[in-house]
Amino acid sequence: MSRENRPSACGAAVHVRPGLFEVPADAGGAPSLLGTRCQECGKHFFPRRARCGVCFSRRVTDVRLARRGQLESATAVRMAPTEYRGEVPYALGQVRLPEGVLVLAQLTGKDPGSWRIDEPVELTIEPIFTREDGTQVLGYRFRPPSASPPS
Amino acid sequence: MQNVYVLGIGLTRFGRYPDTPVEELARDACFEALDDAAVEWREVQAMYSAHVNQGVAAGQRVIREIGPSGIPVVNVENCSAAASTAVREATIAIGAGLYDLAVVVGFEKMATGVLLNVHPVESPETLMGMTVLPMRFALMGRRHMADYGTTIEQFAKVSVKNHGNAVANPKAQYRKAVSLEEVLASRMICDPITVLQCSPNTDGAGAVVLCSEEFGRRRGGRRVRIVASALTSDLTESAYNEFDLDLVRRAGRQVYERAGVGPEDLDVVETHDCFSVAEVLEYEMLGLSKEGEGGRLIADGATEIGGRIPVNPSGGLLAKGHPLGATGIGQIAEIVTQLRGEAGARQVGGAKVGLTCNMGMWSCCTHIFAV
Repeated sequence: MSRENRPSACGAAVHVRPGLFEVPADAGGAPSLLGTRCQECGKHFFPRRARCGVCFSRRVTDVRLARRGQLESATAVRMAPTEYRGEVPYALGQVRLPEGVLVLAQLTGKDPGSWRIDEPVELTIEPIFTREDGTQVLGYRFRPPSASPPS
Repeated sequence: MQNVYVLGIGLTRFGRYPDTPVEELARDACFEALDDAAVEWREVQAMYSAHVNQGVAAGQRVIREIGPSGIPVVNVENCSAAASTAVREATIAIGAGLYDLAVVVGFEKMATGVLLNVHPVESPETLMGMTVLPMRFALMGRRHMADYGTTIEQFAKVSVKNHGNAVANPKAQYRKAVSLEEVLASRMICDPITVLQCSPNTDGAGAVVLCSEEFGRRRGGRRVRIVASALTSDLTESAYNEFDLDLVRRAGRQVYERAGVGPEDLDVVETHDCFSVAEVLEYEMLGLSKEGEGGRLIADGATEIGGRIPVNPSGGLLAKGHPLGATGIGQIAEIVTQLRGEAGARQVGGAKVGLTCNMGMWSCCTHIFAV
């Protein structure tokens, strides 16, 4: 496990943006991305939307999205902007969830150049940045699936 | 709507100008275009000014350098599609009878480093490494390889072709041919896109003088007709997490329909090769090849000068350079030069109909020109 993946020593942690994902309070609970489903056309979205992005309906419902999906595409980013604080290279992928949603996210847990299209992946919530005051900023990434089936 | 014509073009050489203010680059492009059109600044009735990151009232700052004349100035920011969008707006205004003569100027001075999709510093996009623009094309390119068997070499050949074309373009930033081996061996930015498959950071300016049918008839000159234009934006669900070039397909379909021509009628194309992958995908979106056959089109040499449908004889964004707000006018100036038969060693023989495709973040602006 990398240093970044360890729980924060000081405890203070914030989400990189509110409303993107949910981490259950109980230790065994699995995190999920928060999406929207259109009640009229059935299309799912991430992140959440106030209205449907396809048929523009007002009738939308908040949903928790599935934690596992497969890679639509992936790349290793080997030159990052100066504003990016993480390690380079890193992998980016588009994850196709069973609901049909595509999620662009960093891929973690193996060599950035080794990801294959259609590979299965699983959501993970990780510290992506630590502010000067010690507050950890949590973000979403995808990793190779754990052995146990998703809850 | 009455017909609208390009009467004159002007371009600074694209490159790096650390000691020249952007207003002066824009001014020089305007002076060249006015001289090329054989019109005087005092005759110009409106200016459309395109840029991306050059600050507030940029067009007014340019006009101060040319000569304040009290005419309307419209500043157009539409990411990398800004200049084409401004040309389209000026064309609509002249076509509607508001003006007889207008100048469109596009200009940019760029920073260094990898091209970014701009977000606040602590945004999820920045902290999670999603602002690196080439990754969009890397992801689309890798999917294209998986779906259609397109190869890394086919993508890289776009850069070989365009750098080769730029050798004969005195306005290009890089006028040096590169080999396939050099392109593939250059620094990897986002797999499979190497640095020689990325458009460079560029300073530069371009201007066009546009006129009405009546003005053009009165003044003569080497007019090139703007037959049609189209402007699309992305569909919402494909803008943030999904990447495709459907907006290019729609901008292509619309401009063909309005012009009453098809891809088979084109003699020459300037398209938005911000990254090598983009040109291959745009072949398909613009109907130059069938879906999935863009890789074969470049491999067969069909898009080289002398091929079935030459694409980016100027050197494209990859070699001519990509000064964001000037890029669309760089493309239009090349098509006008080609249709006038004045492109010298990079001339496409007998070119009568040309298309430009200028893409920005989530917009695409196409034009068809004819003589």
